[in-house]
Formats: sequence, structure tokens, C-alpha cells
Amino acid sequence: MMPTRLPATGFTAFIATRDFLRPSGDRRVLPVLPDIVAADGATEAEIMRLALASMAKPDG
Amino acid sequence: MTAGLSRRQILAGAIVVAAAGAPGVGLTHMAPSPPTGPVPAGALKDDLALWRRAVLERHPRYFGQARLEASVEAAFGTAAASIDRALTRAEAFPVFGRVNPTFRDAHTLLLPWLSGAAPGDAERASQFPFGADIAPDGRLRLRGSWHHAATGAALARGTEILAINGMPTSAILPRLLAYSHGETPKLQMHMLSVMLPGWLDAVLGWRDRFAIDFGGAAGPTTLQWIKGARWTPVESSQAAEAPHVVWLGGGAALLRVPTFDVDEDPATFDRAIDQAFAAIRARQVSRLIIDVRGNTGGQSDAGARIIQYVLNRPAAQVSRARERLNDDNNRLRRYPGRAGSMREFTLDDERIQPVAAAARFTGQVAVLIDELTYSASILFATTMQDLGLAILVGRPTGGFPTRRAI
Repeated sequence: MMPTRLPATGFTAFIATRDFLRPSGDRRVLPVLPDIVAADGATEAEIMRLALASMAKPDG
Repeated sequence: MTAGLSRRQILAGAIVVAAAGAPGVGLTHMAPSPPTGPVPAGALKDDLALWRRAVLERHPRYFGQARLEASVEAAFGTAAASIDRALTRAEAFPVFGRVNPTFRDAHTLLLPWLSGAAPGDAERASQFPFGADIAPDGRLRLRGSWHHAATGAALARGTEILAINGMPTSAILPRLLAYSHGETPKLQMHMLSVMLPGWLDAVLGWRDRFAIDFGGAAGPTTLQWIKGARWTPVESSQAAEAPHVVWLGGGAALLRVPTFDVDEDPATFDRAIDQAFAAIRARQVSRLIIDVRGNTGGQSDAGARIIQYVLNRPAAQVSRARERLNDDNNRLRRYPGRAGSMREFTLDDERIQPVAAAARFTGQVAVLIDELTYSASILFATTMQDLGLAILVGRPTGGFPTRRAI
């Protein structure tokens, strides 16, 4: 990320110059998808229960 | 390795800046000499054109492209077309800044630094004084608690800000959102809250004094804030955002990590993580939830500090990186390539080393993510997922791991 000065106004713009490839090498331009998706509007308690349940499985 | 803008970089601090479109102009620490009078229309349009060209030539997304996306080109075109006379910098900033949301990138933006430089202490002391977050219900609320040394008055965390300078926040936020940056509306809203003092200053010209209407159980109250007023935070933002453990019972624990933005004091973050894992081990926790919801990133080394406790072999947080070369990073980092070309490289020399086996956490791990998990937090989450170190639970992120440009 490089800061760039515009000469007439003196404004400063940041411009990304790098990007990264995740460890798996997956190049798809997608959000990071959870293995277990919480429903829209899920409460905090429900999300905690989901997380704890995900680890209750033998392969968790 | 650092992923993203730190709050310190955004709000203050020395930044190295290059002059756009001016090959051969050396990097300089910011010593702004902004124009004092109106800038001619032609020079304003030249600045817009230089900014557009710099994005095209420097951003990795546009490697091999002749144009930006249609929406970004349209925003630049609209800004240029609206300039029909000389403008002061204060008049010009709102015209330029409307391009920001169209980049859909929380690492690419025109910064709300009206002076041209990162605000110094004196400038920040004149800007809106209270950190605030935009809650899921769209209301603006105090991020922390405050007290006034002389009068003993207090403001509680979570207090709603109803209006500033007579304008309802329900009108302020949409107006400023037109200048905020980020991949998604939620990220743009979050970035707006992080940089609110700057946007109020640069877009609305509000500084030095504020009339702030607060909500409360006893009804609305108005605070007249004047530069120099002695309001101080009850706890530092670092303390409020420090990682901490919540014991859930049944051999489970929750490690909350609100931010990886720790460049002001990485040693304190590291100590907190070390102490957390020592306590987790002492309590024989077998199931650990690591919560990086709302964590918009910072330093990837902070995420690495956690990862080292669950690793059993050295590993990196990325498989490959790309960097778009330009005259400035070539000069700064002594790259041999031609400006505009792409350099691909690995980060094997930054592989995370596991802690000693005796200190390692060997139980099961779940990582909570959401739409605001971003930048260094995406690095963290994808590393945990890709290396099979954790199950990810929650909502998809707002940013993309493969376009996590910094």
C-alpha cells in the first residue's frame, strides 16, 4: 500500500499495491466462507452453541 | 508483514508519501505545503486524472487492464465534469472523495486529510473528540466511556449520539457514507466509524467546536464541546481492545480478539496472548473458540502470535504474494522490475514457528468470523481453515482472501 500525493491539491491517496494468495492456493475471488454458517439474525447464544457443537464432533 | 492500514496510520503518524505522476520526485516524509488559495479547475482535473492513472498503474487488480471498472471510471468522470471553476481544497475534497466507495477496497482511498498530511496532535485535538461505532441498528454510539476531570461529568459507553451540530446522525451517516471505503456496505459503514472525525472535518468542515446531542434514560442532553475541553477516556482504547479470555465451563473457553491493530504496542498484545494460552492450558481447556468477528485487521504478526500456539510445524499465512511495481516501491525496496509489472513471491522467510510442544494448545478450535473480519483477520482465518487448525463458524467475510490487496 503506497501513499500518493496529488500535486495540485496536496491530497493524499492510499493505493493497494500487493495482494496475497491464501495458504490453500485457492484463487477464487470469494468471501471467506465459514464451514458452519450462522443464520441471519442468529443470537450470540446460538452462535456460541454452533461453535461448541462444531467441536463436539470427533473430526472437529 | 503488515496487512492493512492501522488506525495509527490513518489518524496520525509519519507517513512516507510519493508524488503521483512525477517520476523522479523522491520520497519525502510529509512536509505539506498545500495551496492556500483556490486551485484552478484545470489543475483539479489534472489531479483527478493523476489519481486515476496511479490506481490503474499501481493496484494489482488492474494489472494488464487498460481501464478501471466502469463504476470507478464513471465516478472519476462525474467528479471531473462537476468542476467548472477554481475550488478551495475544502470545496474540492468532497468532489474528489466521492470516488472512494467505488474502489470497493478498504486499502484504496483518498484520505480525509484536508491539510494533505496525516493529522498531527494539534489537528486531531480540534477534530470530533469521541470515538463512536455504528451499531447494527444504524445508530451511532460511544465506543468507550469518558469523564470530565473538572466537572466530574461522565459519558457511558454505548450512549447514543443523536445529533452533531444540529444535524441528526440519521442524516450525517448516509451523507458521509458516500465518501467511505471498503468492499461491502457493512465494511464501508465500519470504516466510516473508524475515520468519523476525519470525515466530519474534511467533508463538513466541522472542527474546533461541536454541539453534541446524546440520548439517555433521562432524555436527550446537549454537550457543547470546545477544543481543549478536558474529556478523557475511562480506559484506553488499547485496554478495551486487548484480547481476553471468557471461561465457558465444560472445558471450553472463548478468546476474544477485537483487533490485530497493535502496531503502537505489539509487546502488550503478545503478552496478553501468551498469558491467555498459559491460562487456557492451566485450566485444561479442550475446546477453544477464537472470536475475530468485527476484527478488521492490523498486523498479521498479531494473528501469527495466536497461530503459533496451535501449529505443530512451521507454516506461512499465505502461499504466494503479488506486488505491482512502481517507481516508488522500486526505489524504496530496491526492486529490479519495471514500473507497472507484477512481482510474484513467497513469504517462506516469514513462516510461523510453533511454540514448544509443552506450551501448545492441542484441543479443538473454532474461529468465529463475520462481515467485518477483514485484512489481517482474513489472513488469520484462512490460515486456520486451510491448515486444518480450526473450523470456521459464523458469517462470510466482507473482503476476499484472494483480493486482499494491501
